[in-house]
Amino acid sequence: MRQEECRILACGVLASGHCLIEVDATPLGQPARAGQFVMVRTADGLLDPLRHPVFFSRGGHHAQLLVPLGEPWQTGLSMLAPEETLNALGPLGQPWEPRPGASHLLVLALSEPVAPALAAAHWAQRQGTMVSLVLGHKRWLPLAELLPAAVECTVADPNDWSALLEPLRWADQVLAVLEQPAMPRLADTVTTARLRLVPGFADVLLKADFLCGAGICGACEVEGVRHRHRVCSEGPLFDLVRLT
Amino acid sequence: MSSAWSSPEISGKSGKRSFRLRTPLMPAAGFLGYGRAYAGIIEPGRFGAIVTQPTTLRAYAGQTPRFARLRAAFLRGFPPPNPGVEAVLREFAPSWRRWQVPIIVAIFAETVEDAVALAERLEREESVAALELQVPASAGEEWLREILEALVACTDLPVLAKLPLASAASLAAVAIAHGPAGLVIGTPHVGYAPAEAVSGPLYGPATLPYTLEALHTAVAALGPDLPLIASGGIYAREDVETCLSLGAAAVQIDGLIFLDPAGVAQMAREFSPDGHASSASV
Repeated sequence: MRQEECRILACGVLASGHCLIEVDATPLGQPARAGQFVMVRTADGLLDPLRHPVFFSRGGHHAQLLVPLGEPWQTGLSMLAPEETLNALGPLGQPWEPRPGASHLLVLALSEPVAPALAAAHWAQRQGTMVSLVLGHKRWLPLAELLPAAVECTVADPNDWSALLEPLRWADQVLAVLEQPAMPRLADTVTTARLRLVPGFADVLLKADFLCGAGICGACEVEGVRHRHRVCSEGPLFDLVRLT
Repeated sequence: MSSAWSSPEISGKSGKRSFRLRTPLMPAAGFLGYGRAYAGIIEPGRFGAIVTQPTTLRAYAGQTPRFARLRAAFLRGFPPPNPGVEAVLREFAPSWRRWQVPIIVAIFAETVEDAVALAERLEREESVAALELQVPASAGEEWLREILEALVACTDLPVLAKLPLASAASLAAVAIAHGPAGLVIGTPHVGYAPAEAVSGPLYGPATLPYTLEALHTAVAALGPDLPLIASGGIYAREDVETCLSLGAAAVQIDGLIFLDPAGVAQMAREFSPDGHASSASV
């Protein structure tokens, strides 16, 4: 983990309602990985005395950050110009990896933040894994253009779980970004499609706002099946069996 | 480092566990975990002491949600979560024993019995240099009198009391009669964020004047003999120097650690005896 000024390579607003920032993350040392994020400083500390978490939508030293637009700090990020810098602390969180032997990854991006779902799709595809991406909103379809053409991309109604039965049957691994109350529904649907939910099959992103982002403050702790988890440092991607 | 600063002695009742601060900077309780946080950015040994996360006798899950972002400030539920004293010592004491820096364990207890049990357990750990009693905003004079008297009686460890800024003046007069090693002034004023339903101390640079006012009043009332440690809203080198010039023996950094850990590390280097003083603020 480092705190550095990272140079902006490109920045623009997408039709999906996101801001895409290409950034030179080399100063952070370790290349960013799928599932990881940075805590960014968006304004003078007098106006905004906390950092904000922003997820990578593509890892590496020349990385992409994808920010949903809505709050003022997010809009502020969308106005960054090339050659300006972004004060970033990271990379933070545990990196995600495709399971050894998995040949088909199903990525469910049913809610924000979409970025880690895209990063996982990128990474798995580069590892030779077939990837199917299911988006929860039609307006997010432009995000498919950020991914390699080999990634199959569809849109699904986030409330229609029966539509996921078939994709779940042939997937070897699942990564899901969805609202927390939907996690038991995902576990039930996996059980229906595959008879049981086994460890290592489904990873889910636990959504939380982060105060420190580095596992210090305990502000993002949640109750798991056996233990309490610090989302920012132990996750934010967790095996679904640890949560439901 | 400020040439006027002289290293204060933090002394317990018997003097057996006394120590001196090497530099005037330390993290405020709850802002650097148990000292290992921000590894690679912040070196614990650069501080005068490490003040830990507030620690309870048993594991404490904290209120939920635990913080609220506000305009120019943030609220944080108090105390924050912690795994309880035994788990803390198991995980962190081995690191503390290697570090060349005093460890001040912040303790939070609602009863005298819990406070005494915490102190007795922590006293047995050689790497613990002192205790910092977190005095909640709701604390009355009677509660403080009882708990501080019991703590000072039961341990040779120096006992600091961190007072709420809102009642620092009246509580300081009570505290000083019961032998604390110093007073921390203090825990910021408590606020409420209805949208998030979070209640807790308010952090941010704009809270500094409250700290300065309480410090100024305490110095005038108590004199120079008891170490007073300023805490709350210190976000720049100039803020540190202002607190020291008003009579603080040391200062604690709170929210700036989350906002700019590299800046805090730089400030700690500048204030350390082998560091390079500069006029830059963070």
